[in-house]
Order: sequence, then C-alpha cells, then structure tokens
Amino acid sequence: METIQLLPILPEIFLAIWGMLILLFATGTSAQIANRAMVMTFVGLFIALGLQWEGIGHTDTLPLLKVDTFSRFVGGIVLIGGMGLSLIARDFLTRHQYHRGEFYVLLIFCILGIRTLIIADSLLTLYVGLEMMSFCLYILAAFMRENAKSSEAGLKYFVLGSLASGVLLYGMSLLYGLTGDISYTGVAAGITSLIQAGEPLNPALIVAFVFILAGILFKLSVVPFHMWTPDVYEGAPTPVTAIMSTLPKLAAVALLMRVLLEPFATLQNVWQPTISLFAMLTMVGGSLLAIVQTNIKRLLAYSSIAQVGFLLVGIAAGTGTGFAGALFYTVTYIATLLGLFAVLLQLRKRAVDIENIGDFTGLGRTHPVLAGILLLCLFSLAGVPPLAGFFAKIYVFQAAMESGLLGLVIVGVLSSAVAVFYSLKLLKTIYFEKGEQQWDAAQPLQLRLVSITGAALTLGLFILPHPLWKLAMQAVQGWF
Amino acid sequence: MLADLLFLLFSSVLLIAALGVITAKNPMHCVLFMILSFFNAAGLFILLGAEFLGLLLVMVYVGAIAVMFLFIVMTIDIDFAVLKGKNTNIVPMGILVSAVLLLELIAGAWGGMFHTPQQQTKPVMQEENAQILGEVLFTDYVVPFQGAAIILLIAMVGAIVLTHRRRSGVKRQDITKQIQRKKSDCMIVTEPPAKSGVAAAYFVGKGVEK
Amino acid sequence: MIEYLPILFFLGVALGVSVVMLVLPHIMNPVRKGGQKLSPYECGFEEFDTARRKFDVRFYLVAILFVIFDLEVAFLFPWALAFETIGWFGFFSMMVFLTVLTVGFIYEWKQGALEWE
Repeated sequence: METIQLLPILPEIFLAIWGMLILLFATGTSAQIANRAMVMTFVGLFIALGLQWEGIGHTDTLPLLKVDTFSRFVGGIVLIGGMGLSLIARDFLTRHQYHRGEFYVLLIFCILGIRTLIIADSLLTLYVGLEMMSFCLYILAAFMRENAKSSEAGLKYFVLGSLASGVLLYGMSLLYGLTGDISYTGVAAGITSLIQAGEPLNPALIVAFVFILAGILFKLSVVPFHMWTPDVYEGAPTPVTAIMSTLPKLAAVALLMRVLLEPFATLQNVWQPTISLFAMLTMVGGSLLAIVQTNIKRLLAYSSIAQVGFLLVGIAAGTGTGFAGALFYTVTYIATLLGLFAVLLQLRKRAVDIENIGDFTGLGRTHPVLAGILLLCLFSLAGVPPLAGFFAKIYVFQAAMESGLLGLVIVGVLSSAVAVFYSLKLLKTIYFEKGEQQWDAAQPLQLRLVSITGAALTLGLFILPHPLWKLAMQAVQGWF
Repeated sequence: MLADLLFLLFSSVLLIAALGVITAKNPMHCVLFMILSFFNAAGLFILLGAEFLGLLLVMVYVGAIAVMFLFIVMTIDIDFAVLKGKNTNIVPMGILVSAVLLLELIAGAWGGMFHTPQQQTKPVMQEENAQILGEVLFTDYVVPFQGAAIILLIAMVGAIVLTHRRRSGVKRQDITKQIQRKKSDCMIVTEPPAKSGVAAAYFVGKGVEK
Repeated sequence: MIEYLPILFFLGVALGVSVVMLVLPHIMNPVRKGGQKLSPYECGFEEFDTARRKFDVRFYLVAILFVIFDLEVAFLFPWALAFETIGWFGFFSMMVFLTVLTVGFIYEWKQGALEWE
C-alpha cells in the first residue's frame, strides 16, 4: 500500500489540478478572464485525452479503482463531449451576463466526477464520484441565480437528486450489511454465497438491489423516476441543459452496465426482466409525452427520456452485442444532442432566445443551414435511415431479438414512429407555417463549429459506423 | 444495566425529538428538536462503541450543520400563519413512504442483514476506533478521501457562485492598490498662475479638459 | 466506555442546573400577567412589524464556509491519532487534502467572500 501506481489515473489527477488552476487564475466576473477559462478548459480536456492514450489496451487495478478498456472508452467520449460543451456556453452566458470562469471549473469537476464514477471498483468510490458529478450539476442548474426558473430548476434537481442519492446509499448500506464488503468483486462473491446458502431470493438482497437500481435509474431519468427532467431541463440555462442531457447520461449508462455486470452479475435473471420493463415504460412514456410539448427544451427532455429507453433495450438484452449497442447508441445520441443544442443556442429573434416551438416559423427560409441541422438531428434521434440514430436503433433491436425480447422490439419500433411524428410536426412549423420571421443573423463561430461537427458525426456514423462499433465491442469484451 | 438504561433514555428521547422535528409549528423549534435528536444519536453511537462517529455527530452536525439550518430559517421568509394549516395534505403520503421504508428495514432484518458473521465484526470495538479509522482512511481509502476534498471544494465554489455578490458603493480596503500608490499619482506640485485658482492648475497637470 | 461516565455526570449536572434556573424564578418571583406586560416591547412605543425579519443571505455563506472547514477538521482527528502508523504516505495524503482546501480558501479570499463589507 506504500506505493500507488499513478499512471493509469493520470488524466483524473491532471483534471483535478487543472480545475484548481482555473479556479485560482481564471475566475471572476470579467469577460476576458472567463474567456481564458474557456480556452483553458478546452485545452485541459484535450491534454487529459492525450494522457489517457498512455495505458490503452491493458487493465490496471488500483486500490478501489479499476481502469480498463471500458472505462477508457467511456472516459474518452466524456472528454470529447466535454470539449464540445466547453465551446457552446460562452455566447449564451455572455448575453445573460453570467459568463464567469466558475462555469468551466464546475464543468471540469463534473467530468472528473464522471470519470471517477466509471473507474470505481467499490461502492464507496462510486458514491464519491456520483456526488462529485451531481453537485456540479446542481450548482450549474442554478447558475443564473437571479433567474427564478433557473433557481427553481437547481432547487428541484438538488432536492430530488439528494433523495435519489440517499436511496442509493441506503441500498449500498444494506448490501454491505449482507455481504460484508464494498468492493465489486467482494459484493459479487457475497451475493453468490448468499444465493448458494439456501433461499433463492433473500428479501434484503432484493431490497438492496432495488434501491441501488432506483438511485441509478433516477440519474438516467427512466420513466417512473423521470418527473424532475422536464422542469429541470426547461429551467436550467440552455448550455447547462446541454451538459445535463449528455455527459451524466453516459456516466449513468456506464455505471449501470458496471453495476449490473460486476456486483450483480449473479442476479442476471432478476435484473434482465426489470430492465426490460423499465425500457418499455420509458420508451412509451417519453415518446408519447413529447408530442404535447410546446417548449423545445421540454420536448428535448422527453425525447432524451425516450432515448434512454431505447438504450436500455440493449442492456436488457444482456449480451455483448446488446451492451456494445447501448454504448454505440449513447455515443451517437451525445453527438446528435451536441449539434442540436449548438443550433438552439443560435436561435434568437430580436435578441430573445426562442424556446417556443410555435415561434420556429420561417427558420427554413432565413437560416436554411440551421434548420437543416436541427431537423437532421431530430430525425436522427427518431431513428430515420440515412442518419446515425438508425444504426444505433438497429444494433440494440438486433441484440434484443437475439435474446428473444420480441415484445420490447415491437414497442421500440412503435415509439420510434411516434418520435418521427413530432419531428415531422416541427418540420411543418419550420418550413410551411407563416408567422414572424425576424431571426437574428449573428452566429458565433464556435457554435457554428459545434453544430456542424455534430451534424457531420450524425451523418458520418451512418456511413461509417464500424470503427465506433468495433471500439464499443472492444470496450465490453472484458465482460463477455 | 446502566448501558441498557442509557440506551432506553437516548433512543426514546431521540424518537420524541424526531417526532418534534416534523410536528413543531415553529421552524425554529424544529431546528432545536433536530439538535436534540443529533445529541441523542451521538449518545447511541457512543454506547455502541463508535465513539468517533458520536463525536463527529456532535462536532459537525450540532456544531456546524445545525447552525446552518438556523441561518437558513432566518434567511427565508416564513409566515407562521400560512404554515400552520398547510401540512395536513402531505401526511398520508409521508406515512406511506415511512411505512415502505420500515417494511424494507424489516425485510432486511428478516434476510439476516444484522447478523452477518463476516469481516465487519473485526475487533474494531476494542481499540480507539478513530485511530483504526485513520489507519485505513489515509492509506487504503485514499481515493475516496481525496474525492471528498474535491467535493468540499465544489461546495465552496457553489456557495460563492450562488450567494456571493459584490456590493457596489461599499468602501473597501484594497491592499494592493494601497501599496502600489505612488507619490506622483496623488500629489501635484505646481505653481498656479495668478488669479486662475488652484483648480485650473490641477486640471492642466492631469491633462484633463476643464 | 466507562471513561465516558464523567461526561454523563457532567450532562446530568448541566441538565439539573438549567432546569433549576428555569423553574426557580417562576416560584420565587411574583407573576402578574397583564395585556400590557405580555405585548412586545419596542422602546416604549407600539412595535413596527414582526420580529421575524429576513436575514441577509451573507449569513448563509459564512455558515456554509464554516461547515466545510469544520468537516476538514473532522478528518484531521483520525489522522492525528493514526499518525505514527500511516507513515509518509498518510502524511502526504493529508497534505494533498489540505492543499485542495487551501486552493478553495484562496479562491474565497480572492472573491471577497470573507469580507463583510
């Protein structure tokens, strides 16, 4: 224990130090300093990505941590997504006079929390990582503190999020009481010996499992635990909504995979039907509720709920291809959403941000590129063929078919049809409805860059899905 | 014998105080009841041999968190008249949630959660448990420990971002500015021409138009 | 556990003294209740408004910063007790912890959160 091998967690150490440097040298209310923080964040995430290159291919075990191909893959995606997110916030926050370095510090610490969460090999590290991530998000949601909606979003997210964390912690403590260990392998061994000891399903074990699952599914906003999502997404500042709907989702998916396959591996016959049920509820609930939304951020909130349902289908399949499909799904989802939010942040009429779907009239004529990217991303989320979302859905559905989950696939296809319906509704508003058309012209370069990159990835992953698919397969290979 | 009596004392007062927290009408009384329940919980911890946890409860919860609660009660605008009639409609929901949690605890007890003859019954109780905790916390559990440091740092950043504001019009001592002040910045030696006054000379010297 | 007995006695004595101090005045003092005597008193005239005024949020900032440093101190106790066994590794892990919080402290100071204004 005297020596600890630091090389595998170098990106994490670097991110922590870098975040503190930004905190010391680039915070405050001056615009220039905030720009410096933005550049430093982008560069820092890039350097962390480079540092991660070092150990690719092997599995390193540290006390309470395990850095393997899976965590490197997910961690890398988180860093790349973070780079995109660090670019899109400036314009919006500057307009509302909230552009300050702390935003980027919180983004970096949020990413650090996510990475801690995915390399965690014990329930304790998991919890610390989860709280690190969530704390940053609570603060970010309330970042525009004089805006009532933003404060409300922060408060709601904080209260419900802490409740979910409490439930998760309760489950963990029950699990510790039952197995006497907090490391994943120890918990798995404890569960195995409990099951062998006699009674097939110990009630305390099921309670612990349900509590832990509920805590994680809350962070993923799966349907019975989704109530907070629309309000928080709508109230939070738009760049923060972009953060909340991308990186933590990936983190929660990765965490769910880890927890289901490592500590709860022996309970597969319990969690598989449970996850199938949640997947079904989430797909149907998210898609149907999205139809009646009039605010684009609320629409995206419900759409993101439905997306989580689809990727749960892959996890419910319980096979290597299913898990790889879910990972692939999450990556395409993040790329698409980044593009989508970068477009949303450019939409303004007379210097007022447009969020109402009814106000999208005439966008097709004045800003054809923006309208194109917006619809491209929406249709990709719905899973329409020449776009990345199509393959993502094919992969998870195929895996589900192989595992004999036909009902789930049918529900999934029907929900996708609903998603196509509301995308078409938006298309009609953008191109054919008449209304006020005074769209503002100025579009900052970085927003254009991110939106075009997102759209390019959405198209590119349809044309060339194999490199990413291969990476996703490699990532889950350790388990299957 | 004494330990049993003390257990009864602490646990019954704890339950009454906890009940007081949710039934007291005046929020200030709620906080005071909460402090009482913290104290009794600390007593229970010490009885169980977890002295460090008990002391921590007194130090952190009674010493700091309760103070924070008091400040929060003072910062928000509470109308007692409005508060009084309001709580009744959430009572059934609260009972339901508590019942579910209780059932789960019973399920846990039934499933043998409280008599696991495994690792956790190491002889922690014999020695000073703060020391045993220290021996593993800073070595084996160094990762969560440093994670806790980052979380505390985030909390500081959050507190400042969300509540701190610089007030304008406040006279503030800026030490850097004081030290950097030079004689030439604040003193002009000049010979004002006759009949034009000192003010003119001052503005000429500063290069400011009058 | 027996070494905690003095604390128990102490608590008992404290409880006794405070109860006596609360009860005794009621017995010894003459109590004459009246409308004027029970009404709030504000320098001789009618009170302007309720005493439940909103406090400045600055108090909260001070409280939360205090909580954070209080927690930091809580970590120092086991460290000090286990100091001899954990060696240099333990020493430096606490130093890193303190450095992180010092960074926070410098940030606070720079932002002016410690000034009362």
